[in-house]
Amino acid sequence: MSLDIGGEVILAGILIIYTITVIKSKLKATIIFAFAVLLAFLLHIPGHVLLDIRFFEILTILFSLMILAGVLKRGVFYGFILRFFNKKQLDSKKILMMIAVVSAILSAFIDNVLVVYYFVGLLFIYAKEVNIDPKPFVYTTIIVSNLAALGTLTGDISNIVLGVWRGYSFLTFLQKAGMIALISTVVAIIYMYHVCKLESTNIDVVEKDLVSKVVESETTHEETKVFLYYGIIVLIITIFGMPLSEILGLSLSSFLGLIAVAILFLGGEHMKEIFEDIRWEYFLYLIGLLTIMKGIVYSTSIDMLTEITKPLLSSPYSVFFTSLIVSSIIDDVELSVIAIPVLTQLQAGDAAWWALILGSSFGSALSPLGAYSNILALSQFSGYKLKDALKDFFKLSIPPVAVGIVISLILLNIGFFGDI
Amino acid sequence: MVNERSYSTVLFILGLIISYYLGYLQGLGILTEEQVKATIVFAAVLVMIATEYRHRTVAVLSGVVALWLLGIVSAEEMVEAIDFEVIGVLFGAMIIVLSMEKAGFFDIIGDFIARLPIKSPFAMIVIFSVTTAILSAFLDNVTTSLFMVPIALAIAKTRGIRPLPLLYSLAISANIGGMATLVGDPPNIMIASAVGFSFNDFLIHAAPMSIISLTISLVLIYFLFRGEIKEKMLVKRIKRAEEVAKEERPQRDTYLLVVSTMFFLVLLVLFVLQDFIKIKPGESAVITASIVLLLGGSKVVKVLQSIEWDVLLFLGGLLALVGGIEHTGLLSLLAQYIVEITGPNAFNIVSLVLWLSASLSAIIDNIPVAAVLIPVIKEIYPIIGTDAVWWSLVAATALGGIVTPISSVPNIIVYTSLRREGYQITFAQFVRYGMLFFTVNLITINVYLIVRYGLFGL
Repeated sequence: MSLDIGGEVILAGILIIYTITVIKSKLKATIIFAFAVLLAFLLHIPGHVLLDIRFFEILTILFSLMILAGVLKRGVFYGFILRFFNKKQLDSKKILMMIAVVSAILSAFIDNVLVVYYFVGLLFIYAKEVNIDPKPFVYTTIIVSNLAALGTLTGDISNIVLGVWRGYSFLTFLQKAGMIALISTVVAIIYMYHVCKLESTNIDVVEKDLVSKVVESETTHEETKVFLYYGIIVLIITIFGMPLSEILGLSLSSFLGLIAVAILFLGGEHMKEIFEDIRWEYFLYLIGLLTIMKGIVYSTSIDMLTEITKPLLSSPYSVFFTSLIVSSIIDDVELSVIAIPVLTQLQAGDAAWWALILGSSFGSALSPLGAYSNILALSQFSGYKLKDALKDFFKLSIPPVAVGIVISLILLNIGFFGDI
Repeated sequence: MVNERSYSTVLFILGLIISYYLGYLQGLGILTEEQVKATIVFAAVLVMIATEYRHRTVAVLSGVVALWLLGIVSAEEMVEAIDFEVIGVLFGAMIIVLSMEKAGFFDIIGDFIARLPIKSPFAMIVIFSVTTAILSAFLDNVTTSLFMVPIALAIAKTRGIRPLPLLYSLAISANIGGMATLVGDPPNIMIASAVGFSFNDFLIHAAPMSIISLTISLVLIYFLFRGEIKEKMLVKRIKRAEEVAKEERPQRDTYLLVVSTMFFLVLLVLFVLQDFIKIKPGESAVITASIVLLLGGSKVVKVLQSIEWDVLLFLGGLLALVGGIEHTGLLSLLAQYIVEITGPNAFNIVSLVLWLSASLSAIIDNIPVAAVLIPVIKEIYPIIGTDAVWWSLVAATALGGIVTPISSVPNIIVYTSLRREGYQITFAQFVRYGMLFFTVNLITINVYLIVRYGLFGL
C-alpha cells in the first residue's frame, strides 16, 4: 500500500498542518497526530524505523515529569506557594517577583509546559480573588518560565528532544546553557518588577482559603497535605538526583523512569488520580511530531528540505536567528522536528545545534505564540485578543530576551559551544 | 475492607513461600537464578493486581522496572517485546467508540429498546442480552455496560420488572459478547496479533462459541429467575421509561454521530477485507481513528480526555514484562511442564488451557492471563497442531469474567448498581450464580471444541 509521494507534497502538507494548528490551536494535538499517522501509512514507514529507542527515552522523560507535576498539582503546590506569599502580607509587586522566581526554578527542572499550564490557571483564580489585573502575573510566569527552561535538559520539551537526539547530558546542558538562562531570567525578573504597573499597596489576606477553594472538588484537605509533602520530597530528590544520576552512569530517562515508578508505587491508592491528571494528548502531539520527523527522513523530502533551508541554516548564527524567528510563531518543538533531520543531513557541528537550542528557547519566550503552553495559558483570558496580548507581551519580553541573545551570540562567537 | 497492613502481611507471607519454593527448585537445578528472580517479580505483580494492593498499571510498571534493575532484560528488549499492533487496535477502537458515545449513539439504542411494546419480561431480557452482546462484540464492553445499565434500571423501575435478572443477564452477555470478534476484548486482539488470526477467523471460529454461550446462559437465566419474571410488564409506562433512560445523557451531536458511525463501519469493512487489502487491524484502527479525530470537530478534545490511557499503558507494560519473562526461558519451561502433565494429547491440552485460563481469568484480569499463556501456547502448538487451543483461550478469557462481582468491569458495574438501588445481592450470592454459569458454559464450550475440531481420537 506504499504510495510514491513527492517530497514537495509532504513539505506542503507539513506547512498546511502547521498553519492550521496556529489557527486551531486547541486541536493542535489531534491534528498533528492524525496527520502523522496518515503520513506514516502513506509512506509505509516500517515499524522498526518508527520504534526508535530515542522516542521512548523522550516519552519516558516526559511521562516522569508529568507524574511529578501531577503530584505537585494534587498537593496544590502552586496554591501553597501563593498562599504562603499571601500570608506574608507582601505587596502585589513582591508577590509577582516571588511567583516569577518560583516559576523559574520549577520550569528549569520539571518542564515549563507543565509549570505554565498548572500555575497560570491558579493565577487567574488568585488575581480574581484579590481583585487585580492577572495579565502581568500571567505574562511574567510565561516569559520567565520559558527563559529559565533553557537552562536544563528537562526544562523544555524541545530541550528533551534535542538533548536526547544529540546525546547531550543533563550536566552538559547545565554547563552550556545554565548561565545564559540564569542571567536572562534574573534580568527578566528585575525588569518586570520595575515595569509592571501594579499597585504597591498591601493586598488583604484572602478571606476564603485559596487552597481549599481551588481543590474543593478534587481532593480532601488531608489528601492534599499528603500530596503536598510527598510532592516536595520527590521534587527535591529529582532536582538533586538528575545531575547525580549521570555521575553514577545512569541515563536521565532511566533515572526519571525509576523516580516515576517509585512515586506511583509508594503513593499507593491515591496514584489513580495522578493518571487522570496527566495530559495524555500531549503525548499524541509529541508522537505525531516525532513521526513527522521520521517521515521527512524516510522520504525524498529531506533532500528538498535541506536544499530549501540551507541558506537559513548554513552557519550557527543563521541557525540561531532562524530558530528565534520561527519559534516565536510556532512551538519550538515543532521547529525542532524539522531542524533535526536538516542539521543531521548537513552534518552540522555542536555550535549549530546549540544555536538551535538557544534560538528556539528565546523564540518561545519572545512571543505569546512561541509555545503550546503559552497559547493554552493565554486562552484562559476571557475575551482574549491576540493583537492586544502581542503588544503587552512584547513590551515585557523583548528586553530580557535581547540580553539573552547578546550573551548567546558572544558565547557562540568565542567558540564556547564548539567551532563555528 | 482489608487495610494496607493486612495486604502487606499477606504479600510478605506469600513472598516467603514462593521464594522458598523457588529456591528449592533452583537447588534442584530445575530453574536458573534468572528464572527464579523473574518468577518472584511476576508473582508479586500478579498478587498486587489480584489483591488490588496497587493500581494494576502501577503494579505492572513496577515489575518492568524490577526486571530491568535485576539485569534480566534491557530497555531495548522490553521495547521490542511490546506488540504495537495490539495497542493500535485498542487505541483506535477506543477513539471511535468514545466518539460514538459522545455523539449520543448509545442514547439512540437505549431509546429504541425503551420504546419496544413488549409485555413479557423474559422477552425483554432476551432483547437486552442480545443487544448488549452484539454491542460488546464490536464496541468496548465497559462502555456498553455503562450505557446499558441505566437503561435497564429505568425499564425495571418503570415497567414493573425485577432488576436482578435483567441486570445480571446484561453482565453475562457483555462478557460473552466480547468473545465473538477480534475487537471484542483485549485478549482477542493480543491472540489475533500473536497468531495472525483475521477478523473473519474470529467470526468463523469464535462467534459461534459466543452464540452458544449466550443461548445457554439465557436458558439458565430463565430457569434460575423464572419466579421473578413471570409477571407481565406494564406497557403503559413506556413513555416514562424513555424519560428516565434519557436522564443525565449527553446532548446528541449529529455531525460527530455520522462521522464516527460511518468510520466505525469503514473500520469493520477494513477488518473483514484484511486478507485482501493486506492492512493489519492495528493500522486500520489507528488510521480510521485519525480520520475521525481530523473530521470530528471540537468534541474530539473530550474524546481524547476520556480515553483509558492507563489501560493502554498497562497493556504496553504487561507485554514488556511478559517479554522479559519469556526472555529468561521460563515460559518455555512452563510449556514443557504442561506437555509433560497432559502428554502430546490435543484433547487434554485444549481442555487444560480452557479450564486453567478461565479459572485464572476469574481471579485476575484476563489481559495478564492471555499475555502469559500466548507464548506458552505458541510453544505447545507445534505438538498438537490444532487452532482449537487458541479458541479455547479466547473463550476462557471471556468466560472467566462472569464468576465474581469483581472478575470483570461489566460485573462491577452491575453489582454496584444493584446495591446502590437497594437490591441486597451479596458477594457470595453473585459468586454462586457466577459459578453456575461459569461451569455450565465451560462444559458446553469444551464439548463444542471437541466436536468441532475433532479432538476425540488424539
